[in-house]
Amino acid sequence: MRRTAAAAALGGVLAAGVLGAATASTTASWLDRDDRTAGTIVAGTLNLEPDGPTMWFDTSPNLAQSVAIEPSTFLATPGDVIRGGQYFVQTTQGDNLRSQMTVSSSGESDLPPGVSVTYGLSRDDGVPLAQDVPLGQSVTLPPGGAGDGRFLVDLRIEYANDRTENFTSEPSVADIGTVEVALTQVRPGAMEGGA
Amino acid sequence: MSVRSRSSRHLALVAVISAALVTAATLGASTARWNDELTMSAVLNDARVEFGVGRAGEPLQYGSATDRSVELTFGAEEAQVLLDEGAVAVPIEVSSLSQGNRGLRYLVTPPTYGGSTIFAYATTAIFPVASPQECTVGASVPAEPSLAATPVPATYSASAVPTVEYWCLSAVAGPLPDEGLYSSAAEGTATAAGGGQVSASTSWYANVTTAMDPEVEPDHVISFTFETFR
Repeated sequence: MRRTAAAAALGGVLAAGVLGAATASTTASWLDRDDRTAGTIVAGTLNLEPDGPTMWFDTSPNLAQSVAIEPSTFLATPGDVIRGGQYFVQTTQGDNLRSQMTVSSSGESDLPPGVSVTYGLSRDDGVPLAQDVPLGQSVTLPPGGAGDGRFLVDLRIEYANDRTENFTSEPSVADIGTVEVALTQVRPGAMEGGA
Repeated sequence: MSVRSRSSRHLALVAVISAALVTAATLGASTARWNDELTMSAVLNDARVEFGVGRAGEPLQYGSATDRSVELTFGAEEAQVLLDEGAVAVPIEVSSLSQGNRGLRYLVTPPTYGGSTIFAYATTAIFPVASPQECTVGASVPAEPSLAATPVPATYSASAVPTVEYWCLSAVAGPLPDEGLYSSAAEGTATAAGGGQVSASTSWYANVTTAMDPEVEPDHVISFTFETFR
C-alpha cells in the first residue's frame, strides 16, 4: 500500500517539470501537466484481537477434571490451582511492517503470602514461546519471531498447601494486576539486528 | 486513538487496542508507528473457615488458624444437678463452615474424669442429637456413638451459611463411694432370774449421704478438634 502511495506522490513530482535553461539569448519555460487522481495512503495494520473470552478453570489436584469458574465469585483455599487462558490472534499487514511481541505484567499486583502467579505464552499448536514466567517479569520475543497466527496466554495462580486459611469475615484478596500482551512495530533494521 | 474498556472489576479481559499513528508525509516519505495491546486481570477472594462450639443457645467459642481445638467445659453447676436430680443433660452446638474446595471434619474427645469427682462415679455419654430438644435426661444413648463428624464435604461450596450440629452430654448419677445404707441388728438372749429364757432384738439403719461437694467439682473439658481437608 505504501508503495502505491509513494508512486502516486512521485508521479506528481515527476509530472511537474521545470526547466530553466539560461542562455545568453534564450529563455524557455516548459510546463507539462497531467492531472491524475491522487493515490490513497493506506497504512498497514497490526492487530491483536482476543479470540473468545478469557476462560478460567479450577485445576486443583484433588479434582477429577478441571472445572470452569468465574474468578470474581470463586473462593480459593490452600492447595488450589487456578488457570486462566486467553486466545488471541495476531495479524500483521503491510509492507515492511514487522512486529515484536512482549508479554509483561504490571507492578500493581497485590498477592497475599502463599499465592504465586506465573504465566506462559504458546502458539495455537501448543509450541511454547515462554513458560513459567513469574508475575512481574516480562518476556520479549525476537522481532518478527512470533509471526502471525493464534496464540494463548496461560495464567497459573497457585495457592500453597501450607498457606494460612482465612478465619476472618474479611477475606484477603489476590489481585494479579494486569498481564499485558503488546505488539510493537519494529523496523526491518531492528529485525535484522535482533533488537 | 486509544480505546480502553474494562468489563468488570474482577475478571476483565480487557482488549485494549490503541494505535498511535504519526504520519509525516513529505512527498512520498511516511513514518508510521503502531502498537496493539491485550490485557488480562483477575482478582480472587479467599474462602472462609469457621468452627464454633458452645452450649446450645449460648454464644459460641471459635477456633482459629493457629488453634484447631475448641473446648467446652462443665463442672460445678452440672455436678449439683447430677447430685440433686440424679441425672443431667447438656445440649451442645457445633457450627462449621468451610468454603471452597476444602471440607471440614472434627473429633469429639470426652473428658477424663478425675477419680474423686462426682462425674467420675456417673455414667456419662456424649452423642449426636438432631436438635437441642432431644438432649434430655431420658434420651436414649446410642450403644457406641461415633465421636467423629464431617459436617462439610470437600466438594466446592460458596455457601456462607454454617452447618449446625448438636451433641448431648448425658450423665446419670451412680453410687458414690461414701454414700449408702448402713444397717445394724442386735439380738440378745439371757436366762431370767426365774430360770426362763428371755431374748430381745433390735435393728436400725441409716442412709449415708455423700460428703462430696459439687461446688468443688473441677471443670471437665470436652475437646472438639477440627481440620479442613480436600
